[in-house]
Amino acid sequence: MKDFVSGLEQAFSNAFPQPQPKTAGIWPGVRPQRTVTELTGNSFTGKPVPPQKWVVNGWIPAGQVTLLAGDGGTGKTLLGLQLCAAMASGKKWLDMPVQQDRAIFVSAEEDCDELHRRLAAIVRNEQLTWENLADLKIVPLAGQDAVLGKADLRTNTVSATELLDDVERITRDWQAGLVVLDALHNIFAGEENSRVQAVQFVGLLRGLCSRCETTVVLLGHPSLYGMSSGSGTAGSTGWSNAVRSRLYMSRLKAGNTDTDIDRDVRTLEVKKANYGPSEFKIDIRWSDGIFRRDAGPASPASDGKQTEHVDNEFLRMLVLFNVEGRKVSSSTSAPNNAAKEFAADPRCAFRGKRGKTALKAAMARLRQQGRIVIREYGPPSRRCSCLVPVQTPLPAPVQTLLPSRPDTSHPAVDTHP
Amino acid sequence: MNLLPAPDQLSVALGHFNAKLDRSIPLGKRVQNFWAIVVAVRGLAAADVLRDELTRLAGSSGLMRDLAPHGAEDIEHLIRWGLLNRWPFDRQWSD
Repeated sequence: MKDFVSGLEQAFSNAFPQPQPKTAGIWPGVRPQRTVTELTGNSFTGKPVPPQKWVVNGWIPAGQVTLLAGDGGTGKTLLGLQLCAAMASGKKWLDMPVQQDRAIFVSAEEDCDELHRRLAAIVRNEQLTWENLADLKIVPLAGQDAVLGKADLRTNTVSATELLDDVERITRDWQAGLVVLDALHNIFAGEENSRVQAVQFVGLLRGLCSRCETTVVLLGHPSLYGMSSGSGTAGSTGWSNAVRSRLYMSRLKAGNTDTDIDRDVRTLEVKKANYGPSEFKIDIRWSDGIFRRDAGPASPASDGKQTEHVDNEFLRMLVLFNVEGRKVSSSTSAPNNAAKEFAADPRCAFRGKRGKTALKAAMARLRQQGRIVIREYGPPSRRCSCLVPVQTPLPAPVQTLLPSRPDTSHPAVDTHP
Repeated sequence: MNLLPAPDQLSVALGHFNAKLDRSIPLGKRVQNFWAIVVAVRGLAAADVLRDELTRLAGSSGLMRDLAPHGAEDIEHLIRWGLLNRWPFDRQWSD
């Protein structure tokens, strides 16, 4: 009886919220403990401007949390694995260069055998050997408690679990430059609709990024509204707002129907980018167990979509070239013809002879629509012209693509008058 | 031979916690104490039994009357949130 009464007293006192230690950080239960740094504007005098670093240029900023959302079954896990494999092996990811580094893939969805099969397909198709993946570490957690952040519904706070400490220890010991977490609903035990909890959980992951100097890519699912609207959002807007970059992977649908235009084709696009342009969009095709970049039309039915895709890609490359201070011309005989230059650039989705033809047609369409114009510049004695998008000046985030912007008043590339 | 029936744990617990609802304690503190009592005893009986007994406790201790005119609704709310172990207050009472 005495034990029973003392147990009751214990339960009574435990029912009240426990006071959090003052060193708990921004939110109770959240671990980051950092001192407040104060700077004045002239503190930067004489210091070089740090360039924005990227894991994948324009897509995944280094040292930040990126959310890759996609409907179930679209292939997020495979795409995440391909990213890890590309990073570890130094190969390209969807034809885009990746900063080579060590990578960790934390899988709470797929078991070891499935990961083995998927990696085997990547190794086979990317002409790799298993030895090339020595810098890739896999942490399979399928069937286990994989919660990294746990919400307290009474106080609406999210706290880190011991497993997150383990992941942080592994990341630090392994000195990984990339951690892919698959998937959000497995690792976050809380209300996805709660903005406060979403921001706190992403805050925990940002803490991991800053303490371990790594980049986190979080795989997640959009809500029904996010899928139907094409925005790819899920739950609270806090998810989109808290991450620095948000990518969305979707199937190509015919109009407003649920019918797939091509079951193997997916669209991957940047829905939010704090440090770069957000109009990046590519088509990728599932083939022989991996995703490859799809430059050509998927099917006759997708021509309209493809046309829009080529136009967007042309505009994107034009913005990039403008930022870099490289002038391009619309003239077919010019050495710096836009279609020719873009098709030869490794960052462009449409390359080679076929890509050049598609870009040439896109240029004509865009000029007709008035979305790009020819602008004259230079002294009156020697006027030159170049192509520019109508929406100028360029948005500030685009300019951060480059460490320093060259002086565009004196173009380094010779241009065709 | 002892022929007296053994007191059930819920009755013992509620009898023990009666002092936490004493009217000499400020009303705000008593309300939070009542919620904590619900949390502490929620594993001792079925939910409907708990609701009846806790409502009775709130009535006998005068808490429901002190919360008038919406005492019954407030007590019902406290019991519901206590059974879910959810904190229904803005902040903790401090003396």
